[in-house]
Amino acid sequence: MTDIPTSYQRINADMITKFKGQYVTLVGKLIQNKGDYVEFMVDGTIVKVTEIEEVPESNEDILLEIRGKLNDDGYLEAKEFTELDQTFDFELYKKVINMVQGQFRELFYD
Amino acid sequence: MTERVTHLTYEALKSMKEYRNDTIKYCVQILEIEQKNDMNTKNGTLYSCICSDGFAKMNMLILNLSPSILSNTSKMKPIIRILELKIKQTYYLVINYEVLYLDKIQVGQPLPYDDYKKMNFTNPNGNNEIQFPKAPHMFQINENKKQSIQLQQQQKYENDSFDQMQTKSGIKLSINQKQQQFKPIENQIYQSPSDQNILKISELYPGMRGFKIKGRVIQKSDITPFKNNKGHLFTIEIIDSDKQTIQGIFFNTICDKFYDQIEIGKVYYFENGQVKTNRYSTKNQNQSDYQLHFELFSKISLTQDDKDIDVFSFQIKTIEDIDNLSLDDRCDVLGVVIDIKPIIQIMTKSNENKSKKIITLYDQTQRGIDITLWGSQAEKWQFQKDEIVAFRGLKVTDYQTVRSLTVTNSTIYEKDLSHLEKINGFREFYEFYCQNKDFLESKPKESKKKFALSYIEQIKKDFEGIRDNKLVKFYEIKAFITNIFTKQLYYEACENCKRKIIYIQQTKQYNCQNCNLNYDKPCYKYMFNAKIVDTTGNLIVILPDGLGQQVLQVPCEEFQKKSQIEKDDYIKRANFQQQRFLIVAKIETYNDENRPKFYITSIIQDDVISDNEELYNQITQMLKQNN
Repeated sequence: MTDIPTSYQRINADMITKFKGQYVTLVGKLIQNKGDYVEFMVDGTIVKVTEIEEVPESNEDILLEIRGKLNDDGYLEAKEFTELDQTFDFELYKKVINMVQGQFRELFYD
Repeated sequence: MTERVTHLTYEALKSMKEYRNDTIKYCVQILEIEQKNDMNTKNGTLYSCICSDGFAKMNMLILNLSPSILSNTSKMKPIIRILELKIKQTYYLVINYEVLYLDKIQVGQPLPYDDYKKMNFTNPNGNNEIQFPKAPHMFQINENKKQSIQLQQQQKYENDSFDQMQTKSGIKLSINQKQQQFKPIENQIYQSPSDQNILKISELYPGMRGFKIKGRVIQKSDITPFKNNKGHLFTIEIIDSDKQTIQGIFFNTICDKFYDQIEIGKVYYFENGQVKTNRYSTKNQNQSDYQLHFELFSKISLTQDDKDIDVFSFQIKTIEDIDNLSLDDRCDVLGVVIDIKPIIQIMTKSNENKSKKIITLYDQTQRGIDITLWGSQAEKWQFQKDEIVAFRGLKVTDYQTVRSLTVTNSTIYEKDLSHLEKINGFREFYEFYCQNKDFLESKPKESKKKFALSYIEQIKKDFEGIRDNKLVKFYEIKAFITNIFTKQLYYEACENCKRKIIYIQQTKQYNCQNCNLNYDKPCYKYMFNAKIVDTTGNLIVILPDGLGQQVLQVPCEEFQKKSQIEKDDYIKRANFQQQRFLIVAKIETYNDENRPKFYITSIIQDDVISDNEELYNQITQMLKQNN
C-alpha cells in the first residue's frame, strides 16, 4: 500500500526530533553533495537529505523548500522540492512556523 | 528748597474740628468737588469740596479752585497745602492754598468724619502716606565701586586731615614724601558691572521695560517693508544661556539705528526694550510667547563671546518627521544636497517677478524633500551637490499632495562642518552619510515611507464630518480601479509650472498667467477622477498627471491625440487592475464649503517581504486579542 501523505507539515530545525517518521516540509540552503545524500542547512542545523539526484552548480546559494519524510535516523527522504528566490526571508518564515506549530497549532492543523 | 511732601497731615480734620486750629498749614487731599454749590463772592468763587487727611473726610469750602484741579478730580485727586484757613462754626474755608500734587490716587480709605469720630478717631483702613510711582528697576551702584569711592573719600579725608595736622604742627613733608603718604588704591578689582542684574529670557513678562538680558543673535531678517511701504522693520532672534529664545523687533527709525550694529552670531547686552506678547507664537513652533520691541532709548552693546550661550540653536527634525507636522509649521532640517534645480523666474499673484530655486535634501531616514528658495535667497544662497547643510526656520508646504519646505524671511542655513558638528542630531546623520554617500544618487527622492495597509472604510470613517482644513492623512490601500470618469481626463498645462493655461484668440497662443509665458502649443497633463474599490467600500479619488500615465499606460501627450475608440480602449484596460495606492486625504475649500478630497500620490510596487511581515504582525496581533 502506498503511503500517500495528506500534508507535509512545515517545521523548523528544532522540531525535527518530534516529527520523526512524519511527512514534513523544511526550508533551507543546500550546502554540499556527499554522494549518498546532500547536506541541507536548516536554521543552522545540518539535515541530511536523500533522494536528491541533481545539484546544479551555481554561484549563488541554492535555497530550497523540501517536502519529504523524516526517517527515524534523522535523514529526510525528499519527495518534492521547490527552489526559492534569493530574497526569501528565513527569519520571518521561522517566526511564522513557530506561531503555526506553537500556541495556535489547532487553527492550522487537525 | 522745599521738602518733598510724602504724607497728608496726620489727624488734620480732627485738629480743625475738635481743636479749631487754623494756624497749621495742613496738607489735605481733595476727593470731590460738589459742582452745584459753587458760589460767587467778592473775592472769587467758592467751591464746596470733600477733603481728606487719609483717615477721615469732610466738607470744606475752597476759594478759587484752579481750572486744572476742576478739570481733573474725576480721575485723580489733587493734594493741597492750606496756607490760610478760616474756621467758622459750621464751615471751614480755605482762603489760600498751594497745589502740591495735581494727580495722585486716593490716599487711604477715609471715613466720613462723624463715623470716624464714633470709632474714637480710629480707622483701620486709613493711611496718610502719599503713593509715588516706583522706578521700573533699581539703579544700584556697584558695591565694589561704592566701596572704592568710599575708600577714596576716606583717603582724601585722611589726607586732608593729615595735611592740616601737618600744617598745624608746622612740619611739612617734602613733595615726594607727601606722594608716598598718599597711597594709591591698590589691587582694586572692579567687577564688570555688565553681567550684574541680568535677567533670563524666561523671567521676562509683557509690559516689562527696564530689563537687561544677555544673548546671542542667532537670526536676523532683512529689512522688510510693511503697511504698504509706509514703514519698515527687521527682526532678530536672541538665545540666552538657558537656551531660551525670544524675538526682537525694530521698527522704522529704530530699525535704521540698529540694523548695521547687529551681527548674527555675536553676543550682546540688550537693555530697555519693551516686552510684548507675540501674537504669532502659536503658529511658529520656534518662537517664544513674547517679543522685545526695541525703542530709541534701548541699549544694545556688544560683549565678549560667551561659551555658555549656544551658537547654533537648531532643533533638527528628520525628513520623516515632517509628515507629522501641520502645514505652515516651522522646522529645522539637516541633510545632504542631492539635487539643485536651475533658478527660474516666477510671476507671483501680486504681479511681482520673483526668483525661485529648488534644492533637494536627503537625510538618514532615506527620504528626500524639496526646499524652495525665493527671491534674494534663491539668487544669493549657493549650494552644491553632496554638500551637507542645516536649515533653520523652514515652513512646511504642500503642493500637489507632495510635502515640501520653503524658506522664509527668518530662515538661516549652516554649511560649515565645524559648526554643524555642534548641532544635535548631526552625528546620526553623519554616520549614515559616511556609509552611504556613494549610493545616494541611486536612491529615489520621493517618499519611501511605508504606511500600514488600510481600508477605504477607515478613510471614510476618519473624514466623516471633519471640516478642519488642516487635517491631512496618508493611507496605503489595496484596491481596484472600477471606473475612470472621462468627462475631464486632461488639461492644457504650462510646461514650467504645470498650471492651466489659457488660449488667447488675438495672439493665437497659450498664456500662463502664473509664469507670464506664452506657448504656441500647450503641454497636456492628466487630471481625472476615478472610483476605487476594496473589500470595505468604494472611494472617488483624483489622479494627477504622473499617476494618470501609470494607470493608463500612455503619456498624456500621446493619449490626447488618439481617437475616441482608442482612448476608450486604454480606459477599459486600466479598469479592474488591483494596485496598491498611496492616498493623501485632506480637506479643501470650494465655494466656501470644506470637503474632504482624496488624491492618489503614488502607486506602490508590491514588496512581498514587507507585506508578509505586515501580515504576520497582523495575524499575531489578532490572535493575541482573541486569546
